[in-house]
Amino acid sequence: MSSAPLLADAQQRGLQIATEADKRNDGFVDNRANLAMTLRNKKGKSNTRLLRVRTLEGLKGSANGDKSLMIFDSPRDQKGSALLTYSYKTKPDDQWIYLPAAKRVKRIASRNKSGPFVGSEFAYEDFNFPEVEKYGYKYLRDEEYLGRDCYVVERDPVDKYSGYRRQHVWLDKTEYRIWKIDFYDRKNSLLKTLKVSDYELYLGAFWRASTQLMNNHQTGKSTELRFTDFEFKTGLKEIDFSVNRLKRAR
Amino acid sequence: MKYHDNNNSTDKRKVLNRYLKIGLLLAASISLPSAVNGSQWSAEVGYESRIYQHSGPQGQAKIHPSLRFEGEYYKGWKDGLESFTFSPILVVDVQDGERSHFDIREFSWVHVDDGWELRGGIRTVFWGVMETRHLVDIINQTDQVMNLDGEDKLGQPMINLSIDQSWGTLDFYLMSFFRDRTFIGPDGRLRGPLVVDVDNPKFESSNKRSRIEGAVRWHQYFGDFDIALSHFSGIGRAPTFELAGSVVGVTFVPNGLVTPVYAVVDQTGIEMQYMYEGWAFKLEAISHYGHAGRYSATAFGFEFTQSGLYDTRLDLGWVVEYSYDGRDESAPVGVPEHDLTVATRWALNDVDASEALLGVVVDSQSDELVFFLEASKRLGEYWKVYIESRIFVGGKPLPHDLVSVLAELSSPDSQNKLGYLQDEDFLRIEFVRYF
Repeated sequence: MSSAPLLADAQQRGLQIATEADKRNDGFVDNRANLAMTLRNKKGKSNTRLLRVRTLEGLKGSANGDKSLMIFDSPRDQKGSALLTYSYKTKPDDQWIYLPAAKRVKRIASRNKSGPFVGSEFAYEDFNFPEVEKYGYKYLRDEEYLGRDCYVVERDPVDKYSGYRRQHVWLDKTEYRIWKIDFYDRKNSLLKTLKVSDYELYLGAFWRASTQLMNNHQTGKSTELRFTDFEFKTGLKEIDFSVNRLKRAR
Repeated sequence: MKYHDNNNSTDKRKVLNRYLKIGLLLAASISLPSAVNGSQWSAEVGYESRIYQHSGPQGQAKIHPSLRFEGEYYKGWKDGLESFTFSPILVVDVQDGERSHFDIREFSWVHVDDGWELRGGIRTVFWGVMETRHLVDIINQTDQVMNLDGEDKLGQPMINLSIDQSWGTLDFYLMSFFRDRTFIGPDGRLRGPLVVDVDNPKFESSNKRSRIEGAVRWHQYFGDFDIALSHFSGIGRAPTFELAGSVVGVTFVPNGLVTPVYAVVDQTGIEMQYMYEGWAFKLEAISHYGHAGRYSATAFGFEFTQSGLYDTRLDLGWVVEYSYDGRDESAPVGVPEHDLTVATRWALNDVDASEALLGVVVDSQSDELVFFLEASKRLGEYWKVYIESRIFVGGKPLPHDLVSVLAELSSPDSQNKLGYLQDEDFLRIEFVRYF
């Protein structure tokens, strides 16, 4: 028996699951949320940063993905800095950062998205709602996770500068929400695990998790994201995500 | 907006006390809890000490402590579509009365509309892409007393219309109330051999500081390529200098000062940046026209970042930039006429955001070198420490007495442009408390 048709099936099924998960999020238009990011080291010492996040959904059928803006309120020395990301389906994202002390907007090289985000266990690339096209997929198995029937899907980053060789993603079969991701580094050893919890339904259609906990197995450090005050369809426009406007992000 | 003090050493204590009082008042006002309704205060207080290896050529002290109070008040309405920002800064320097100063970096109102913005008041605007030399950046005057890098700017009164469309961002600036460049006083360090007579500048423009100035800049990006074109017409921000003194009979007797002379200039600039994977290729160039004719200058180079070096969290960035000034040997002191900067930027990506920039500036036509280090690290939630050092190598120190200095300046040695900095190796440590 050849395994090639089986592999093709698994890939097909993996892509179907990812596409369905993406579809479930169609039509959110835009959202805003507050984010508290808590960094913990091995000894349990913690530091919390406060950010505000705004996202604008990419137009259907366009090569452009979502646009997002993260505004820092703390740590204090970073207050007022802001990160703007344009995600694309098939090419690397564009990113700009505003540095308030120098009144300067700087573009970030696309290759450096694998680096840690402000000292946390999240990489830049872990942040945005990933476009389907950014990975190759493979359905692995069905598995019960925390009492929910889940699909386990492997996804391999297309970007050769991704920090990951592959990721294993647990999504529930009813709502296609991500509950867990195992991240494998370039050498294919388990690097980090993300656990997602406290999902809530907004506008009767969009699930958003309040808590995301990333554990780094290699360092023993962790980072927890707590989202609050989700708002949808708040009237954000393309121009609110322009590079020019970045200087005035508040 | 800026108040100079006579650097009479007997007055120094009084002046310091006055500044300190203003600073403490500022600090007291900023520690008030944030007001409601979209308005907020934030502030920082920096305590810095500059430690020089040698006493200054004119006997200046080795240790120069100073305090910096910087605040920002922001109020926004209509989800930020209307906003007001006020940022004052106050510096109290123990040694240099010229460095003790107050400025308003921002006192501005911004109206955001569909596809355009109108901004008015005192503002600080940055143009450019380079790291080491900011050629096209001309809107704001340099607050030269702050640091040798000239990256601190004085607030500029202006009206700015910014049009943001699919074809790019087009900014129009109308400015007046020219700001004189600040210069280090007699007791300060990192200055030329002759003190700048900041109280008696000369202007080419008959309207002096109230001349109306204009500027326009278009910026657009096409995928990974950024381009900006700009033109400025007004009073040049960088003055030239004349020997100051008085005529006794038929003889000119210099008084040991130099007079800053501000010319009317036209400057056209271009900025380009191309991003390719971990690379950022950059170029800035200007064509500058003033009473001394036209010259051009350019700076270009790249920044390359290796993320996660050797499977660690460490980022290593390379910054390589070359500066060329068309005035060549006749370029004023302090202008890099053909200088190469090679630097490495280390970022630990840790909780404390520890990072360091370590590099060297090489004058390609003389033996002069400048080594520099800039490092910073967060200390807990509210503090940060900054360390900076510069070491000047390969030049000949200038003579110390006025007569020899004047002789030297009358036939300057283009191979010894940094001669005046040879005794100025320093280490700067600043602790900043954020509120």
